[in-house]
Amino acid sequence: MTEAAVVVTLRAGVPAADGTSAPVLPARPPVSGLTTSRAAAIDLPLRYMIAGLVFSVVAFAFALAYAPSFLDGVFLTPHLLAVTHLTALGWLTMVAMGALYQFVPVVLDVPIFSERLGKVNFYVYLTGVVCLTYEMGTGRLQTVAWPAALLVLAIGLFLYNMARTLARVRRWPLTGWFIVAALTSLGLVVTAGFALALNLVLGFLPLSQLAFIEAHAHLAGLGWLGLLVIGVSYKLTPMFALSHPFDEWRLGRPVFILLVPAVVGVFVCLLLRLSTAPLLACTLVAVCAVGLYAWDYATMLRVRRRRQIDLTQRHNIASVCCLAAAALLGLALVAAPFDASLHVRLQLAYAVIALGGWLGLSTLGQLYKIIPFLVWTHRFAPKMGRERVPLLQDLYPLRLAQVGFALLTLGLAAATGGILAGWLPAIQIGFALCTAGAAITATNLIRVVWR
Amino acid sequence: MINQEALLAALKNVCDPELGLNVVDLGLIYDIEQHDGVIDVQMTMTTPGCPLHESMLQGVGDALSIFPGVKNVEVRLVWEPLWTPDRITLEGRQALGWAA
Repeated sequence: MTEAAVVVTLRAGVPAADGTSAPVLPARPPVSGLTTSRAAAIDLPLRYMIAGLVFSVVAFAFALAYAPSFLDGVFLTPHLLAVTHLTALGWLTMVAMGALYQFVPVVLDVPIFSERLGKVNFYVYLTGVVCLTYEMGTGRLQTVAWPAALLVLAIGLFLYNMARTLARVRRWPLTGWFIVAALTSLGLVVTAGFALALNLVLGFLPLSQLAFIEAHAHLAGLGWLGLLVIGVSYKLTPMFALSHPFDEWRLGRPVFILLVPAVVGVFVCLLLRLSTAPLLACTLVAVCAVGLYAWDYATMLRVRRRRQIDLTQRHNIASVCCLAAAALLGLALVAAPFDASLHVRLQLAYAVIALGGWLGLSTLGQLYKIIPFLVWTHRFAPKMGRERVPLLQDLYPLRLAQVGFALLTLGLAAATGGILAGWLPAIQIGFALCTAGAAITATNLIRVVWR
Repeated sequence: MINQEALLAALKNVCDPELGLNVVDLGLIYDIEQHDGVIDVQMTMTTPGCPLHESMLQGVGDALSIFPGVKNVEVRLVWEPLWTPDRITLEGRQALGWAA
């Protein structure tokens, strides 16, 4: 048999049956609070996740407050920029960074290069996000460069920490390749974002500002967050669902091989305002990759041995449906000519489905695994084998979590429908439901930490 | 020597907190040997990179260290043969909603 590096040896101090006492030694080695010696202390990922959950509520509340902006006929308004960045940076990227600090050591079997740097990185990033979205929300686009510089610093620190961590990886599973591609995209996204912020003051870019923004947004959504969500799902979905037999490389490799060049291609085509043909070609490749991934995800569920579709899987199923819808909508936006007003409404609906539906639901669903897991390993793992301990799903009220999920999905559907139909009450009702759903989810998960 | 059934019964107190199934019914325990007050356990996980592996190993060790006369429990994590769902017991399959 092949043995892993882990061998736990315990010496018991219980008297022997013949009355002699065994040497009294510690009954077990000390447990640091997490399940693998590689894993980071739980306060590092948790601070990002809690902040991300708070931002999810704030982002939907801002979307509700600025709902009329969704019908202004343009998508580059300060209010919509603030909502988009609250979502992408405050919620999704915040959670993604925390998840990587927890996930990378466990899955890739390497310790984080510097946990201290990760904590410094958090405060710089938090300040940057709050200041950037405040400046955007109040319409002071001329002064977004300084918070953007803070974000460059924070994300630079994060990428440095991740690069030094990943340099020690010896075996690369499929998920590892997705993470590397996602982190590379993040570096480009933040560089492009900073260039855009500087350009608002200096006006030095030789390219269309609108083209640059579209390219930046696609690289963030599809490249950084999208590749990460897909890559992580290739590890977590089969693991939680006990999918068997399932070979992650069979379709996962083609998904990766198709999606990464497609992301680069879409970015370049949008940035350089190339003609429709190359953009359409790249979009078709991306849609094919998404189709393969959706098929593979369905396979993971089809061969699962754990029949129950749990809360996280429900989030993920809804998320993959949103991904498919966003892919088709994106294709339609590239391929079909629409009048200007409808085109903007379709773009906004596309953004809501992609950010809130695909990436948002997936992120919240995974947090229903990650946060209880972190808390469980800290509080209850030391008691396992000695006394009865709760299951992960016992750490939060399931009914409330289901209500949160239902409100989010209904809200996203209503808001998207309202944007497409140009009907403000539906948008307002939709974002009100989303705000309530996100608030319930955030409260539910944050209470787990203080359990 | 401690009765093997008693050891397995003790290990049924160690549950995967995600699946709600104990390590015996999940088929994670490959071998248990005893010699001179030492219990040597060979076990696996459902997948490499399982974030629970250290907790599970500790739990198995703790569950067996309660028996009188046990001086030492060694828990070894092995990957061969690779775990498959076929190792899940009938009780485990029923708990997972998977018809036997």
